[in-house]
Amino acid sequence: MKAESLTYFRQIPAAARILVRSGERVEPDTVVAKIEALPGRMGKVDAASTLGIHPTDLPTRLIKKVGDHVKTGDTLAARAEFFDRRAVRSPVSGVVSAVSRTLGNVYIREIVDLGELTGPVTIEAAKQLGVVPGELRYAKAEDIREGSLVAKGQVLAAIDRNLPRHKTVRSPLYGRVKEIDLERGTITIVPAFPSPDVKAYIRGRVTAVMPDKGVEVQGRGIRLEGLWGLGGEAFGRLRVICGDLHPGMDLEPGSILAVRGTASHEALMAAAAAGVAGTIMGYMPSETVLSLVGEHANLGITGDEDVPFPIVVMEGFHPCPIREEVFSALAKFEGDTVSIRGVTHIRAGVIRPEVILHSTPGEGAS
Amino acid sequence: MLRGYVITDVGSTTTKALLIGPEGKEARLLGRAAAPTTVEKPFEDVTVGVVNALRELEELAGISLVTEICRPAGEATHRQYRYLSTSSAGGGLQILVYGLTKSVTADSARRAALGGGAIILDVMATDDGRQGFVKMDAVRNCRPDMVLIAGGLDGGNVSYVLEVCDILNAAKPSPRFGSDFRIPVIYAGNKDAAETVRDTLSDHYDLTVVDNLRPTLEREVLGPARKAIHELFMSHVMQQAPGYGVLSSWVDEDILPTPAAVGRIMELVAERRGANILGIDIGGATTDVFSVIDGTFFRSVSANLGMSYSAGNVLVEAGLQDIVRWLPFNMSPYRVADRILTKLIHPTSLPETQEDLQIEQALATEAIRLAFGQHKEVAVLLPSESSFTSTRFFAEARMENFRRPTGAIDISNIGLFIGSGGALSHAPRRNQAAFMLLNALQPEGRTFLAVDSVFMMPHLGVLSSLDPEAALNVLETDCLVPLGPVIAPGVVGPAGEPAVSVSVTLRGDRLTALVHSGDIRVIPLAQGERAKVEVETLGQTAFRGTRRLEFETTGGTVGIIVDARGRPIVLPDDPDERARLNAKWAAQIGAYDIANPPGKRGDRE
Repeated sequence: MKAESLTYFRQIPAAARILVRSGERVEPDTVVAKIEALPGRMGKVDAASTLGIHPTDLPTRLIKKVGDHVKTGDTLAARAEFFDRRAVRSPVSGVVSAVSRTLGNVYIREIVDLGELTGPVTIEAAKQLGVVPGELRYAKAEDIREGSLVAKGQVLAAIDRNLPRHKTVRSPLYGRVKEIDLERGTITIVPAFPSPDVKAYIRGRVTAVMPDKGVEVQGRGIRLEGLWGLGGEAFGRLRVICGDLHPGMDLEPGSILAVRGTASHEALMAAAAAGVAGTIMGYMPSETVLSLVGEHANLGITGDEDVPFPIVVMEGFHPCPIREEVFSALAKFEGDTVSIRGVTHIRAGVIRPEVILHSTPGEGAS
Repeated sequence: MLRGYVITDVGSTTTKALLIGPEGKEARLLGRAAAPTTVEKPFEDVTVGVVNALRELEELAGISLVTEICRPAGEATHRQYRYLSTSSAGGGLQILVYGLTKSVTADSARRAALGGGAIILDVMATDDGRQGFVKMDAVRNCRPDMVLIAGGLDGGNVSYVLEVCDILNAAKPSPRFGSDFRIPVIYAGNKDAAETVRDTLSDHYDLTVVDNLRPTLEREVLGPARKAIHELFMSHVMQQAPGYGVLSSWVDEDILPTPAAVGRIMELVAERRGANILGIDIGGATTDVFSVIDGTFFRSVSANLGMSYSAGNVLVEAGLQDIVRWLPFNMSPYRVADRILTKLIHPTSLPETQEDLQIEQALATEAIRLAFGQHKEVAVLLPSESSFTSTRFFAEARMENFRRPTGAIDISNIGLFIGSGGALSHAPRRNQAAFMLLNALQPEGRTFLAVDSVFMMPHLGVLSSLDPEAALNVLETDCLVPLGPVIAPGVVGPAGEPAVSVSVTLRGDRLTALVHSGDIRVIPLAQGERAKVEVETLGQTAFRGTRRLEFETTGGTVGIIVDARGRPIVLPDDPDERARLNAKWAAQIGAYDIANPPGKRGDRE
C-alpha cells in the first residue's frame, strides 16, 4: 500500500469565519473555519396593506432591497404623502429574502446566531408552562414532532394562546427535535450542526481559500476504504487490537481503535465511556448494528445517526477479521494520528467509509 | 422501404437497444444488445452509450445501423429503420410537486407527476406540518428538473397559490443540469389564480399554464398536466442533459420518460384484453408498480424499496420477522439480517447458495408486498358526486375532512399480473417468480400471472404510439412469459379438508384434481395450450360471490396454479412449523428441489 496525494474540500454550510491562510500547514484537528450564523426562519410582513397601496406598487416604495441586512425595527418600505405618512418596519433581524409583487409581502430571512450551544438541550417545557408533564401532548405546537427542524425562537409549546395570560416555550437554538418526553414534560433539541468548528480532517497544507465556500487542504497518506460505516469524522492516536474488543480493556481517551475482529454493543459502549474517538473493525454482526442504531435507521445512507463515535467496518457483517495486508498497514501506524469517516452512501455515486493514515511532513509512507 | 424499428432505452446504468422487424407476417424481436450508459463522467454524453449499443446490435443482426440512425432524423429521408428512444438516465425526470392540501390537490398532482413518468422529489402542501423556512430549504436543496403546482379547486383559495410562488421566487432552486437553464414550472391549479401566477413566476421560471388538474372535488383532469410534463421533458429537460440534444435530433418520435412508455403499453394491453392489469418492476434501488383499472392508469414509485441499493430499507420497512416468515428453513433472524446487509454493501453480487437465493426471494416478496401497499394508496377513485355539497360552497380544506377517495384496486378483479425486474424475470425457475407473486400480492379468485423476460416494456411502449399491432405482437410473443392461470378462493375450510375440485379438459381429455385447504397444486398446462377449466368449491370454500367457475384459458411455464391457502395467507408463529409449511408450499409449486416434500398428490381421472 502506497501513500497517495489526498485533496479534501472542507465546505462551510453557512456564514463562517475562515481561520487559515493559503499555504498554512494543518493537522487533522486544526480548526480551519468557524460557523457563525445559519439561515433561520422566514418572516413575512404584509407591506402593501400596511402602506395602503396596491401590491404592484410596492417595489417603488421599498427602502431596503433583496439581499440587504436589516435589524429589528429598520424601515423596509415607506409612504410619505401630504397627510399620510406610513412605514413598514422589520419585525426581526435578518436578510431581505424576497419581495412579492402579487401579495405585497416582504419576506425576511432571520439569521440564526449559533451561540455556544454545541450539544443537545433539554427544555423543561411542562414546568415552564406550569402544566403536568402529560399535558405537553396538547400544549406542543402542531408542527413540533420528533425529527422536526426548528429555528431559534420558534414556539415549541404554548398554553392559553389567545389569552393575556398565555405562556410560550421557544427553541433556544436552530436544531432538530430529538425527543418529546411526555412523562417528564421535556423537549430535547439537538443542534442542526453539532459543532461550529470545521476542521482540516487531514494533515497537510491549505491550498485554496474560498471565502463563501470553504477551504481546500492537500496532503499525503494511505487511504483505506471500508465497506460500511456509521457516524461522521474523527481523528486520534491509533491503537491496534489483535482480536475482539472487550468491555474490560484499558483504553486511552481520544484514541482511534483498530479492532481486527469485532466489538459487541457492550464493548462499544464501554469504549465510548472511556472517551474513545472512533473505531475501525473487521466485521459488525447485524445484531450489534441494530442494537446501536435501532431497527428503523436507513442502513444504506449513514453518517448522521446518533452513535457514540464514528465506526468503519472493513469486511462486512459476517465473521471475518481485517485482512492481513490491511491490518499490517494499520499496525505500522500504531501511535500515530489517523483520521476516519463513517459516512456511507450505497446508491449511485457511492460513498464508502474511509481510514486515512497520514504521512509525516517530508516523507512518503509506503 | 421501412424494414423495422430500432429502439433504445437509456437507463441509469445500461442502454438497451432492440431491433424489431417482420418475421413472416408478424413483427418480432430480431435482436437486442446493451452497453453501459454514458451520462456520467468521463463521457458525459449519452450518445456514446447509444452508439456502443447499436454497434453491438449491428454485429448481432448483421446489418448496418449506426450510419443510418446516428444522424438527424430530418436528414435521413429514406430511413429503413425508424429510431425511437426512452430514457431514465441521470435519475429520470425529477419533479417537485405543490398542492393546497395533502389529500386533495397535492395527491392529484402527485398522481399526475407519477403518471407522467416522474420521480417525485417532494410533495408540499399547506397541511404537511412544515414551516415555511423548512420548505424553502427543501426547495433549495432538491434541484428539480421541473415544478408542478396544483392547488385550489376552481373558485377556491387563491392566496395560497401566490404564497407558493413567493416561496419559489425566494428559494430559486438550481436546476440539476445547465446553470443558465430556467426551470420549467407547470401551473395546473385554480384557474382564477392563473394570471397572477404568470405575473409572479414568469420572470424566473419557464411557466406553462394548463387546465386545473382538480377543478372540483369529484373531478380529476390529469391529461393536460401529464401532456405538459412530457412536452417540457423533451423541449427543456432533455435538451440540458449531456448528449440529449443530439439524441433527440436522431429520433423519429419524441423521447419518452421510461415509466411513461411503460404506462402506454400497459394501457394498450388492458384495452385489448378488456381486463384490469397490474405490473410490478422490482429493481435494485426502486420498485415501480403500474396498474390499469377500468381504463385508468395508475403508477407508484417506491423509491426506497429494492433488492440491492435499497435492501437495507426493505429490512427496516418490513421488519426482520416479516422477511424471515417466508423462509422454508429456520434460521436466526440476525443471521438472515447479516446476509441482507451483505447484499446491501455488495449491491451487484448474486446469491451463491440456495439458502442465499431463498433469503433474497423472501426479501423480494416483502419488497413487492410493501410496494403494492403503497400503490394502493395512490390508486384511488375520487369521491362520487353528491347532491347536497358543491365546491362552490365548500373550501377544499374543509371538504377533504368528510369526503375521502376510495381505493380503486380490488385484488379479485385483476385479470393479469405482470412481474418484472431481476428478482422476478431472472429467478432461476419461473415457478419461484410465481411463488413470490402469490405470496406478496395474494391474488384472489381467477387471474393470470406473467413475467417480463427482458424488460422491453419501455421499448414497446414508445413503439405502441407508432405501431400498436407490432408492439402488442412482440409483447405477447417475445416479451411476456406466461406463468399460468391462478385459481385462488378467498375463503377455505380447515387445513386438510377438500377445498376445490378442478377439471381441465384439453384436446378431449378430462383431468380432475382435488385440492385440499392449505395446499397449492399445479396442474400441467403448457405455454400455448388452451383448455377448458371447471372449478367446483367444496365444504366451506368460496370465491367472492360464487361457488363455481368455468372458463377457457391458455397455459404457462408453471401450469394452472390452484392456491387453496385462503386469504390472507396465515403463517404459524412457531418458526419450525412455519418453515415446514413454507417448504411444503415451495415443493408443491415446484419452486425448489426440497427432499421428501410433504403434501398430497391429487387424483387423476
